[in-house]
Amino acid sequence: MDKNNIIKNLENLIKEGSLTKEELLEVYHRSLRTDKQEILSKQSRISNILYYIGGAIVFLGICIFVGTNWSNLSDLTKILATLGSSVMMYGAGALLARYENLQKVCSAFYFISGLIAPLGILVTMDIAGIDTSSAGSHTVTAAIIFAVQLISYYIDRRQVFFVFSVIFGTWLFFGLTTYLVGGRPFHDWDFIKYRWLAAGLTHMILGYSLADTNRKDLTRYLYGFGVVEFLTAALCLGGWSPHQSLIWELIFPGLTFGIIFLSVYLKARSFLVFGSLYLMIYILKITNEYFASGFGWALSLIVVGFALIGIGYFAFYLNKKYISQHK
Amino acid sequence: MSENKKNVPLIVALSIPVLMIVLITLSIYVPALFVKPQFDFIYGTGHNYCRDYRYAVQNERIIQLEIKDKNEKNSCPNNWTPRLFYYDVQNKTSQEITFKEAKKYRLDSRYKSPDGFEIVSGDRSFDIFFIGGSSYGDKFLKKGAYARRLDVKSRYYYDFIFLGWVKEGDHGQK
Repeated sequence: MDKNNIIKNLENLIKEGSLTKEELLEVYHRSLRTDKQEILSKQSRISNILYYIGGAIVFLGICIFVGTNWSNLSDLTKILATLGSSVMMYGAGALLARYENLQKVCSAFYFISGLIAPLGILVTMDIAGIDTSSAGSHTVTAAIIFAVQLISYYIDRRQVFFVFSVIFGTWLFFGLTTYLVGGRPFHDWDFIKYRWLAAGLTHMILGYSLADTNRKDLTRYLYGFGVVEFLTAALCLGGWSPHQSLIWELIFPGLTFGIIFLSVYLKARSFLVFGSLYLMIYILKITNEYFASGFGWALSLIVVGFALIGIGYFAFYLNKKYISQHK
Repeated sequence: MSENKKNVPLIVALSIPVLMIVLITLSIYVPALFVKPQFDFIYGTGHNYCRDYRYAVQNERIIQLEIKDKNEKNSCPNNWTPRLFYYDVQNKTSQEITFKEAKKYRLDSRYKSPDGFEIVSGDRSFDIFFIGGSSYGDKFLKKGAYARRLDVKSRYYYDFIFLGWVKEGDHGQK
């Protein structure tokens, strides 16, 4: 094969519009990647996972240490073991951040610090005689850590800070709304569901806002958690006969279809998977609620079975045609 | 301009929880500006079957009812005495009153006050963030979207016994 001919062919394809700049660059970068690099990248991913597993084990160890020795430890030791550890881990992370080759270890230290921080603040509050089960103390705890993580992210654009900002921001939202309602006797469960609905929507849109940035690997997680939160809340808002909400029961299929069609537009598999799954759950719920006695349970099962096969095929078709091909 | 456009989803995402917090705040505090409960009420605490009597309402007046089948002394660990309180809804205060004072008031012992308020327990919500615990022991004056925490002197949720709304124009009633 002559090189000039290949370049000529490529030129023709580009002129026709059959080959885009992105596609050409992707082929170029892909061909540069060697098997060795693939192995190194895989090893890096494994070591990354091990850092975070290690961090979670350290967190667990501190919890068990404080929990099992609660009555033997002095107040100062309790604070040092929890809040002190969190501050120290954060400090160690900040020191390690200076070394280029220790960036992943540094993130692991920040990860441990973020995990222990709420425990540390709540233990300190408990020692200070503040009721740690109240919405006010949870709001303050979440607000402090959210502010620290957000400022840290602003200074050092590290993924771990972003993830913790989302988690503690969500906690702050729940804490503050609970605090504002202050135990008032409204439909308590509906209030929880509406908040999860808002949280789910926020996570999904936040995921979308990251899709074209260098944080795009977080998009699928935010989509996944967001869609589950949103559809679970919407499904629960429908309730169950005789206390069902007809409006939510009627809206729900529209929401799931909306999510499924969004999966094509956004090329997001999690939207397709969870949209189809919740549509199946909805059909089972509605059949059981309204048609189990009228049609007869056996007949309902046949209808549901075919409906599920239909949804399954539809999801498979959409995935094959619009999502897998694109990816 | 294009940078601003890129930030639109982020702004929308962050404005959802903020908007919800604002709406919750408004839904709680705005009705409080316009809704004014009018009827004071009388409630009791410390009612149990260890004492000789308890309070009840008969023909719009508080009476002492004798407890015939009272519990054995061994099964009465606490020494609670039935007490009576007058709740002033405008000043938001509970004032302990004697049986003799309570007898002066004509009471409406229906669940809802003549202006549509009722006394209910707080919610028992609990979610995965383990926030708030339960407010079931607290009492609220509620009407539609309006609810106000009451400063009542009951020890537990079952210690509060509502006796009646003080009738309009009666002694002490505004």
